Amino acid sequence: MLLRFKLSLFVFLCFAVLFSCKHQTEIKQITTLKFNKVVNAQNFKLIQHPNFIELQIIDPEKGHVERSFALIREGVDLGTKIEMEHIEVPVKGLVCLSATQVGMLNKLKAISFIKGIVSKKYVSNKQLLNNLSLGKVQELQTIDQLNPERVLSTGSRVVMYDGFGTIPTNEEKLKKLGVVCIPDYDWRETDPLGKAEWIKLLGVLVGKELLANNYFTKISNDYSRLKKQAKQLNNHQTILSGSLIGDLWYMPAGESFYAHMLSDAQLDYQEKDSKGTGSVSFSLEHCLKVHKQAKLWINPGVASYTALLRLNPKYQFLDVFQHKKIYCYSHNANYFWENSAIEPHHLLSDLIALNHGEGSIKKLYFYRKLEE
Amino acid sequence: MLKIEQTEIGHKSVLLHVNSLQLNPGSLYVLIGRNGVGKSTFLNTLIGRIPALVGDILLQEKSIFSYSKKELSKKVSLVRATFTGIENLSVNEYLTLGRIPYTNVFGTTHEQDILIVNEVIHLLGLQHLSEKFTTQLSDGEKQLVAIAQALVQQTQLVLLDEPTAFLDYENKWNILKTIKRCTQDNQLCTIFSSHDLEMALEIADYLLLINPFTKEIKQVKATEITKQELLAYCFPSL
Amino acid sequence: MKVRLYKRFTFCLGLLLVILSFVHLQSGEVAISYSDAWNALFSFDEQNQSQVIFRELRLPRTGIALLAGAGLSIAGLLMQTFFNNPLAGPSILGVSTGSSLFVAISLMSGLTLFTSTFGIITAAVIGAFIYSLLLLVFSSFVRSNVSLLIIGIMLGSFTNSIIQMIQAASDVNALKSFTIWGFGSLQQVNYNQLLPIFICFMLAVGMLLFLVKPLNSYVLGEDRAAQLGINTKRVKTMLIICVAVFTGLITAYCGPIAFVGLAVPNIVKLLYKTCNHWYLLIASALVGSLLLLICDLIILNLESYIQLPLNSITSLFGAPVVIWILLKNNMHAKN
Repeated sequence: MLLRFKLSLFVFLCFAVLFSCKHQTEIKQITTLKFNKVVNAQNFKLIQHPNFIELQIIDPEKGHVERSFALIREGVDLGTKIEMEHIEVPVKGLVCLSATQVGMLNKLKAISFIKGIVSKKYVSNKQLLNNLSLGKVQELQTIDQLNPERVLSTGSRVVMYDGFGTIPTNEEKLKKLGVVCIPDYDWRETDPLGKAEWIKLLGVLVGKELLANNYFTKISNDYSRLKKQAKQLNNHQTILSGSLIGDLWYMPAGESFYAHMLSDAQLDYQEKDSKGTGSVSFSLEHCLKVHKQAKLWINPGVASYTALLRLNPKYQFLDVFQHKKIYCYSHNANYFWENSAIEPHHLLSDLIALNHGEGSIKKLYFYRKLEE
Repeated sequence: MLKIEQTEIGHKSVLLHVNSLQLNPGSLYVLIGRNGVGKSTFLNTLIGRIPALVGDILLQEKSIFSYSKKELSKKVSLVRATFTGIENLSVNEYLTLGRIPYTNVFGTTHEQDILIVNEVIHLLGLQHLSEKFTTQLSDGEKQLVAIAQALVQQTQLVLLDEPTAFLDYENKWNILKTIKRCTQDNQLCTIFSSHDLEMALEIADYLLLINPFTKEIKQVKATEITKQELLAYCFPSL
Repeated sequence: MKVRLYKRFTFCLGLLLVILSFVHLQSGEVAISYSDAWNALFSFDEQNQSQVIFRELRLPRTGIALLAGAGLSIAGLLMQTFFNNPLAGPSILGVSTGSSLFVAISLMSGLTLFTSTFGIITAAVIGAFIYSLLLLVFSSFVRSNVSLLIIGIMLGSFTNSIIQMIQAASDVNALKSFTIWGFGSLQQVNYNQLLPIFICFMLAVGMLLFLVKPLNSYVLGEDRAAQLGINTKRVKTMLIICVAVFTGLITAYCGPIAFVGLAVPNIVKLLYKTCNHWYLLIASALVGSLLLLICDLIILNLESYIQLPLNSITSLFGAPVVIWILLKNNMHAKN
């Protein structure tokens, strides 16, 4: 731990020296490639070129580069022409159509960059809410529903939205208006730290790459430490996740982000061998067969037992319903969506606490027991 | 059996005026008048669908408006100008439906009902049609079957609204002869509306004439009036 | 002769239905022994997984499939006879949608009274009743079968847009339960709801017994029915109540299920070639139940490959039936 800190300090000092040496010649160039190297995230890459950083967004399905952007520091002359969309960094403003971006910008103390969001309904961050009420931030709706002209009026020339593999029609329109859209695939990351690493991209965008890198290093260390602790404690409660939507019960697939988290917390998740990185669906009959005896249930989607029964009274036939060990984040869902991605160490800490039962639970960051 | 005195008939305004009419069983009455003069309204009044504006209509000494629907359905039946046939309904089933006024609340038919249906089938010579679907019949056959249903209903007062309007010559006379025969054999009181004067004079026992100006219905014996007089009364503007 | 044939055929349908019901009860991931099935009904042990699955999942699913198929088909037949229109049916003429609208309103209201099971059924039945009345009013202005169909479809679209507006303005949780409900599902019923549903259903069936004779006479047209001594006003009221209870009850529990009510009576008429509503009603109920069971069996058996919504399957065979009727009627008119 200490060693690692020393090492990073050393690297930092080296760079600081390097920086000051080259200060005279390349003053406006981004020279922080080492900080920007992406380790855990699969769906984006930052590549250092002589006078710009190339951002590659990678298609999570096929693994090839879906889009490339050139992130260029203001005033830098590229010399040759590059066949990529250009983004001048730091950006003047950002339209953030995903809650995770809000959480990340919060960690970077860069909430003021946000000029547009989907809707006030999904915001938890106080500063952002305040900006909304002051009229500094616009409610624009999702990428498919928004009105491109209103995006222009926010003054922001960069939109980040949750990517779905296809290019939304609005993106074409926005492009013609000089607005660049970046698809955000953080939600498709499967590594528990992968989501959080997207903070590095935001760091470059708002010109706070150093801060982003430090934060990420800190939480990856915390995460590893917690993971190790969990392993030593050697407790394996059976756990059930998700809920019925219509006739089908959606659960995290075996290779998904959440399944990895559960396994890192040493929880025993019965569907851990299922294929896929998203979710898998099962009939209620399957769930009663496989998960009837599960000791824990997380993410039922509601905050109280009454609400749960109203959604489907058949839930009562799960043993866990009788033991009352059901936990959710629904009492503060917006907070969860904003912060869980960027605080994977807190999420893991919650899951470990759940694994060890009531007595050990000192502080839960996101989860809370269902109300009666 | 049907007695109408000092009665005004119409929907809201007066269409027809009846001073005094007395219709008896065993006679065939033909209602003659210009188009739109109120023949259908008159027939609809006689089955109790349209209330009389002034006065009353007595059927077997009792106001037709005081009969319950069910009672009335055993006394009066009305055959419309056209019957187009009903899909998946056989002639036999169609005729059996004529027994509805006599069945219980679940519509159960008894042997008695089947006998009556068969009797009517024989009477009108419909044996070869009884298993056919009503949609498969010719126009003449359809009209015959519609009349048969009224006979199955066993009402003494039978009303027919222009039953021959859409038939060719041969079918027309077939139907008329059948009507005449049934009227006499079963002692029915039959009224049908028409604007076919020759036919009316030949077949009717009595004529019910409507004058378009006075709006009055007059009853005359068919043998006591010539075609000219008839024309002059019913179609004075000719 | 003919009567005996009808009776035999109906008996065979009934037998097939019983067999398929057992197959349906047996279908699923877990194998359930006869003793577990028996105990699930008569000495239920909540800790026994098989018993819970049989009693709480399988039985309600099979039960509601039978009731929904029968109820919707009967409602469709009633409407077809009443409007004298083979294209009538609860979903296509917007009665189901009317039901949905009222369920949406009561769910979105958030008041406990309205969101209870009782509240939702009542809302669904009232919605179906009001929309049947509306159709009745419209039908007195139009003569053509297709016009009524178009009016019904427009009524449905109009109502759907109101539903969407309500959804846009309502809170996330209420919205969730309603959108799910809109898909059409046989899995939202619980064991303890089965009996009340069955009782409501049978009450409507009881009323139906008194409607057979009027329905038979309505084949001749309302005017002739009145001449034959049928009290048309009372029959109209009873008929609409029946349609509303069948449609509303099923819609409240299963969501709007498409096309069953329209297609089944037409199939039955094709098979039986009669206008006698004793046969038509019984056969519609049987064929309707059969059809929905078969649809659900398809869903159950494909579950491990693909999860299909109920309406996708019912529409698959329902829509061609409409086209077939339209073609048949047109050819009829040409001849």
